[in-house]
Amino acid sequence: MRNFGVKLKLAKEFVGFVGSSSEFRTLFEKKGTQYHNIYSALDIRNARLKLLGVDLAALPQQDKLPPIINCRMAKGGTGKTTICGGIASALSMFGYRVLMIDGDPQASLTGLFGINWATENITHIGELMLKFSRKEDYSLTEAVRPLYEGKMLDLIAADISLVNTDSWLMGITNREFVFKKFLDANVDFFSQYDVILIDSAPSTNLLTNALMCACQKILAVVWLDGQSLKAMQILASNVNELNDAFHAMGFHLDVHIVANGYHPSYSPCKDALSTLISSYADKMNNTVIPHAVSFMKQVELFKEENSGTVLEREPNSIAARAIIDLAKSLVKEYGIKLSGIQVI
Amino acid sequence: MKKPITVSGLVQSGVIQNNLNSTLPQFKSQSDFSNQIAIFLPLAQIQPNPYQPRSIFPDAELNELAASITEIGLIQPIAVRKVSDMAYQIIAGERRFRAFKLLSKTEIPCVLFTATDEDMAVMAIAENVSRQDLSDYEIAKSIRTVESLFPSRTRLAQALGFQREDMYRYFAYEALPLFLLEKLEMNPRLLSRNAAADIKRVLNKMSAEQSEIALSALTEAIALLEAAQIDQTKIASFIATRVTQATQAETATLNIQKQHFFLQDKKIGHFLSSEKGLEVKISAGVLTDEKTTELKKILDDFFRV
Ligand SMILES: Nc1ncnc2c1ncn2[C@@H]1O[C@H](COP(=O)(O)OP(=O)(O)OP(=O)(O)O)[C@@H](O)[C@H]1O
Ligand SMILES: [Mg+2]
Repeated sequence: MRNFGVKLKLAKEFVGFVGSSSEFRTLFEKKGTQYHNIYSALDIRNARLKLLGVDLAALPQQDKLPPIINCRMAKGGTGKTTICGGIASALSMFGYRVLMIDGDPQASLTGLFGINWATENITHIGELMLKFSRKEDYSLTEAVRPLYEGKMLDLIAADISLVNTDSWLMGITNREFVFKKFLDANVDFFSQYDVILIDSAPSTNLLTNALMCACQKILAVVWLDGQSLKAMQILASNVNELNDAFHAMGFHLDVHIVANGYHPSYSPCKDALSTLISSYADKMNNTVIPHAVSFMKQVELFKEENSGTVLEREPNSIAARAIIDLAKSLVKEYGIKLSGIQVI
Repeated sequence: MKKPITVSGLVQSGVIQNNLNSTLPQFKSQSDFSNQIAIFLPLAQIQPNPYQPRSIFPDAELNELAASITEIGLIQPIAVRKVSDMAYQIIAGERRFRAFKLLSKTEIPCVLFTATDEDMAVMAIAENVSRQDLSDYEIAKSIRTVESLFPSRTRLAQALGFQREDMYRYFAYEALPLFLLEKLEMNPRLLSRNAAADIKRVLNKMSAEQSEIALSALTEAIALLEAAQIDQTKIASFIATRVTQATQAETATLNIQKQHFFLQDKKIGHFLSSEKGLEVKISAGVLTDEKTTELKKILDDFFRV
């Protein structure tokens, strides 16, 4: 479990509180003075629910899957993991219950949250789906790692053995929808969360397809240079192909795009962004993630347990601000709700 | 703190452009696939395709279709286009539409398409041509009615996916004599487009004198055809044979006759007709090269008919 909270100013922003700070403090039952000015994700959730006048005990059990955001790009190193982990911690700090699924055998999302897959016992999503499709027993509660207290941020971690998934997916029917069926079969478990975030590998294979086919809209993370734009061609044909194959079943996968790595003095960034907006005006997120050193400092090489998202490590940086803005817009874009309550 | 970077901000300040010409590959939107979603439209707002060549829908057939619709429902929605507020035209599915009327239903599932007049014509014809239960004559008539929508017959053939050659076979009907067209109106299956094209070709070959014989031969042939005593593919050769026979009979009555040609009272040649054949002889040096060529050409044209 990670011990993370934000200070008063951000806490007020996340709760959406406009009154005075002393009024704000009365929303919380803080014991002692130790965490006096630190607000956890759970604190913020409870404060929001309190302000909304919602009786926590009376909240109905959800029976539908929450929105799924799959960070995807048919190219490596575009910032998928950075954005996925970043918006996960931001959404959690806004008070939403977040489940992250590391869908990449490189396990970089797992690493971003300080977990060393080489030394930990990990049950990854591939193993869970395999057991599900073979009708063997599996435990989701054991597979899930709590990161922020109160089920505010959980992770299904990955390790290198996730690469084996394609070899058994190859042999089963309806493999594109095996992940979707796995979620549906465990709707009681997954509906505890307000949003599910998936970090994907850069390759295009059966696992990345299956992870996409459970979504309505993938989040394409584009690094602002020519190489990365070229990969849009691969992504477009991948998505078009899935839509072609399954539209008769009522399936349609949409794409939402976020631009990453903008630097005002690099002209290729501007050219790339011009091309993106000219090509996909109605699909672009308005927030542009800047090229910022804070992102590069997220992962500690020799003290892995100290790694963390920009929001955790430098909450007042430009990088963290961009991630917060992006996460806010995604609440609207994906219709993320607080325990089923739509907050406007 | 610095202001956050946004797409709209960068466009507004002119740092990036949002109207470049060269763009990236597009993601197909749902509507690229989903014009298959059916809506219910009141039957009263739906009219037949004005280019529909099929005018007769046998009752038995419609009753059968209606019965099957009652039992298992309509499997395929009909295709319509919107022509004005609350008015739609059938692109495909008039039989289904009529069967629904027969069942006194008020609404029918439709798939909306956008279609120009040209499209409407092409779709109506293409649907019927491939169904094979429409006669060539009816197809030919419907092609004629839509012809004016297209700049040329070649374009028309392209739009319908016909070979040019085949297209002209359909147009052959219009060269047939009136009495035959009247018969075709009553019985469109009487002549296929191939038979019509053959008849047109043989009639065109006839000289003015021969055409009368040809016409009566055609009348005779059609009577035989109606009595199922001749195959429609044989009509053209039937006419040709009759005309040749009549011409030969005429020549036989000429007997042996010799006629001399004179140039300034001097014999320079003759024309001889006997059972052996015709002979024309002209002395050497009488005709200039030019005249010789002209004569050859006349004879040549004569036999070409
Ligand atoms: N906006 C940014 N500014 C600076 N560095 C960035 C930014 N975004 C990502 N990076 C850095 O780029 C590298 C790749 O990022 P990240 O791992 O998030 O990409 P990815 O798309 O997940 O890669 P992979 O395809 O390998 O999974 C990391 O070192 C990250 O810190
Ligand atoms: Mg990654």
